[in-house]
Amino acid sequence: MTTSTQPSIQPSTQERQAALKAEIAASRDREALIKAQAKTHEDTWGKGPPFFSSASFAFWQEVAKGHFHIASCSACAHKFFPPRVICPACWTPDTCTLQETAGEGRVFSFTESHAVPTRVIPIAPVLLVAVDLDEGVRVLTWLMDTPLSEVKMGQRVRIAVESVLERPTYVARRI
Amino acid sequence: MSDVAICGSAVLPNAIYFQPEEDLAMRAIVAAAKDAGIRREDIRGLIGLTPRPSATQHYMSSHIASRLRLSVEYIAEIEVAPAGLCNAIRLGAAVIREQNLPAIAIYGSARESAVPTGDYFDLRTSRISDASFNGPFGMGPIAWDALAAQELLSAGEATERDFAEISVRLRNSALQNPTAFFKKPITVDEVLASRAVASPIRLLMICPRTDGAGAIILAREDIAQRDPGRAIAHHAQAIAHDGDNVVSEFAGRSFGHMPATRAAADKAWKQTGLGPKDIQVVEPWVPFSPMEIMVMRALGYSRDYTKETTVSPSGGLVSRGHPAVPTGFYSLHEIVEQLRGEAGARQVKKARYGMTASEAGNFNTCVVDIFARFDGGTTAA
Ligand SMILES: [Zn+2]
Repeated sequence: MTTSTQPSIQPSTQERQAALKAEIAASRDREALIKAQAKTHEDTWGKGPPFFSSASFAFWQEVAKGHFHIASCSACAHKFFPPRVICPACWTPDTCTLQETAGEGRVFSFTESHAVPTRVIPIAPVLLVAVDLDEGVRVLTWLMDTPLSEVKMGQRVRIAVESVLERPTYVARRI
Repeated sequence: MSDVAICGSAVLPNAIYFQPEEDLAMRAIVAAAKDAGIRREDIRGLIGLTPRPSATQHYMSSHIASRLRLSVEYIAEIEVAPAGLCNAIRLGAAVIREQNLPAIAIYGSARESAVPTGDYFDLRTSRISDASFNGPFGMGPIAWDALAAQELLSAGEATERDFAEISVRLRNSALQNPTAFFKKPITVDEVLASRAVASPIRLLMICPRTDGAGAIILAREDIAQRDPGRAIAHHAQAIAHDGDNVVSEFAGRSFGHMPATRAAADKAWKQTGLGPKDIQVVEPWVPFSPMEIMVMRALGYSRDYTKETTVSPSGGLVSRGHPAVPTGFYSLHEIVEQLRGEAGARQVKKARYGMTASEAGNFNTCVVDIFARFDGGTTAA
């Protein structure tokens, strides 16, 4: 599989037309599948957030079952987070696959925040942390059960799914 | 770009208004036309910044053209984010050149007060960086700046007192600005004692969400030549987005390094042959006091930046107010008044060049604009 989206030779008009026809058919099939996923997502998560996207559908289904993952591209093996429809490294669509992770990393920065969405007010202030996982990706989440005075830059943490405000949520805890 | 110039500028005072957005906008447009000394017949184009969805009137530019009986050859609306005014100025200048129009009006207005704070967090700030992965945790502009400010504290590059001193300086500037929202002085101790909102950011380090409106008249060279000491040239513009999210894709990346601001500034310096110390007055987009340190650093200034240039003599967003859609007009208006020598008690001496840094790395976009006097001169000593 190539790691570039730039074709080395410009396609002919016939090739373009054939590719367009194939893409229209593929899009129809893809949308049929995605429509079913969107229904499942709404059954699990309501109207959101998390909002539905085909790229993160599997991720949120796993969160609902209690498992946190990062993403990896099946074409170029690039690891990234959050999941997305086009691989940011090789620009191949629909190659986002879930990658198991120990969820371990370090707090890069933190803030104790009262400025939160309405749904979160009951647990405010939250300790919002940017966690740099050992895989080299960054995850924004809450550090649980830690007073502001005890959090340190570089603090080792582990991310796992817990129930917060009666909803499965990936959060960090000190290790 | 000295063939097209800003010949008129007006802003309404930062306040809580009960008038709808279109009325605020029309007042600003007419005031800017008056400031430019231009006839309605010479305003041949209208560019608006699309109002927030909470505005009752939609298709705002078409509506305003009809209500002001403004017959135009060009009409458009531009989404405010990112840096809609900067894009509108560039577009407006291109249209004036291409169609040989005498003048174009550009406007924006907002009633932030119509949007309750809860809705503001739920429906706006939560949906900017990533509506599913970041927003629900409380990631928005305040959190971004708080994470960056914490880096500064942990690295020993700034103290909470430094942040508070910025608030006090901005407030003192605002006291000299009749269009500013805050009218009373504050002390460092009051800032440090104000409510923690997102550590280390406290209430008195945060911009108030205000209502307001602004407009400018962009005009052809012959119109600018009528009063070259009051016309302001758009000297240069540089835009950048470095391709990353404000919550970086990469471990180890600073929240406060503002790569887009650095890139835009570097490009502006290269384009103009100017450097940071050639700019007498800077109005950066800084909604939270700690951000000023990071923005000025990214623009190429030293840590002692207030010794190198005058920063936010308008009071900045933190003290003059932040009506989100038209806020850029307030920054530009200050530059216009400074370069004309009409800034009164706020006047910077020998002003020749002024700069705005819009968005300033917010969600990884920055637009740097440099303005100059149309006559190439400086204001009085
Ligand atoms: Zn890839």
